[in-house]
Amino acid sequence: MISEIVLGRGDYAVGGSRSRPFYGPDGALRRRPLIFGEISEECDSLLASMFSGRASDPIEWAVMWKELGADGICLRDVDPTSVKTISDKTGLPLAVSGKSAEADVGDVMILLDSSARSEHVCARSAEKTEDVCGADMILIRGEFPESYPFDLMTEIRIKGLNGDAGFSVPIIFDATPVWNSGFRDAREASVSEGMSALTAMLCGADAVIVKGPGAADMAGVYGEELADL
Amino acid sequence: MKFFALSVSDLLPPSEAEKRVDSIVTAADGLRTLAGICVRDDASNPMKFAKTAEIAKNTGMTTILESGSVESLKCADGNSVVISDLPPETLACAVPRSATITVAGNPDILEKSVALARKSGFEKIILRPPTENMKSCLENTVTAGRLFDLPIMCKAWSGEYALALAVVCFLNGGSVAVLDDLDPYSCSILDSIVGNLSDCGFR
Repeated sequence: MISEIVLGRGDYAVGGSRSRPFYGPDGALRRRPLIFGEISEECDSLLASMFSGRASDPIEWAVMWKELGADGICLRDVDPTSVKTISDKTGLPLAVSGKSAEADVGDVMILLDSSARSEHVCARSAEKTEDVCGADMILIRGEFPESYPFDLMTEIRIKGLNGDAGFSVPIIFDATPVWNSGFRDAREASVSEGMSALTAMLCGADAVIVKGPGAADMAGVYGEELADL
Repeated sequence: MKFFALSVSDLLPPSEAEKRVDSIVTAADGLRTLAGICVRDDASNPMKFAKTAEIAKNTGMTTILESGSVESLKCADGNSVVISDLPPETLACAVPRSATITVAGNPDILEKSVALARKSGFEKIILRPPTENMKSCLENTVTAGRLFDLPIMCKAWSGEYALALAVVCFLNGGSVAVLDDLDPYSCSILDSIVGNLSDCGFR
């Protein structure tokens, strides 16, 4: 069984799987993966256009993610003071990296490849199974779809379900590298990132990080259907 | 080999059917796994069906013939893949034994259906469990895959949901997806996913 971790103020949980993803006859949990919307210092014009001008201010951007139904906010290199304000205003769990990880926030955050602090959850990157090292969560990234880590994620999840040491922890998948390939329009961005997130969920991801609201919506709706909610 | 197919309706006049087939061939250019054209019997006219099937066959792509009519399916040959709810013993009156047929039904009745198909002389069989939504697609594909060592097909309509359903099918052991239509960008996404899947994964 995959460990279950409580996040934020105690009202969100991630992990807990005991079977292959979403397969009811094996007793799959009726729980969909959590969707984290990303906020970062860099925001290109296509991405900004998806947030009706609110991406110019990280706090407004975070509030919009909450309005859009995100389960959490991923903050990359956002000023620690803003991180605290975002946490207070949205009440959502945070996944943080860079200087955002320095924020003094009372709720349980996910630290993405940042120095471990006992009150928070540590997620460490893995590009191969040998990188899995006893962190609280496993962080996987993948360019989609050319070098997508299907096999890595599936292998990690199978090892976790089999009880292999270090593997029985939740997986958080970062779908945002898909934006490196560049998109012509918002639809391309949503379809690409949405399918990346869906694929990750089918391979065992317990949480996904996305940049675009279209992808977040797709992942949430598809996750609910697959989890039979 | 895993592949997906797009469809053409035999309701289209021949000139329009050729345009539709050409658009599928164009979409398939550069893609490894868009390898099939499905001809749908919407007209209930065996001559129209056969004419549209001929247009599809001339492309060299795998031709999938979808019909509930024995008369229409007489245009099938040994390279055809047949989608039909006709029982195998009836199909055998129209379709060569060397063709591939699909066997439909819930996983709990597939064993009997596969046995009937084999008894009717068909050796090349693709399973077609119910896949009307992502949840049923996932569960029926996994269950069928655990019960049989045979390829599994899903059918879907068009748009993003169809793309998502096909992704669910392939990632859970499916081998073939037949879609009514998919835009070129979505075809490239699906091709990349399917083309990069290996045989490892959940059992």
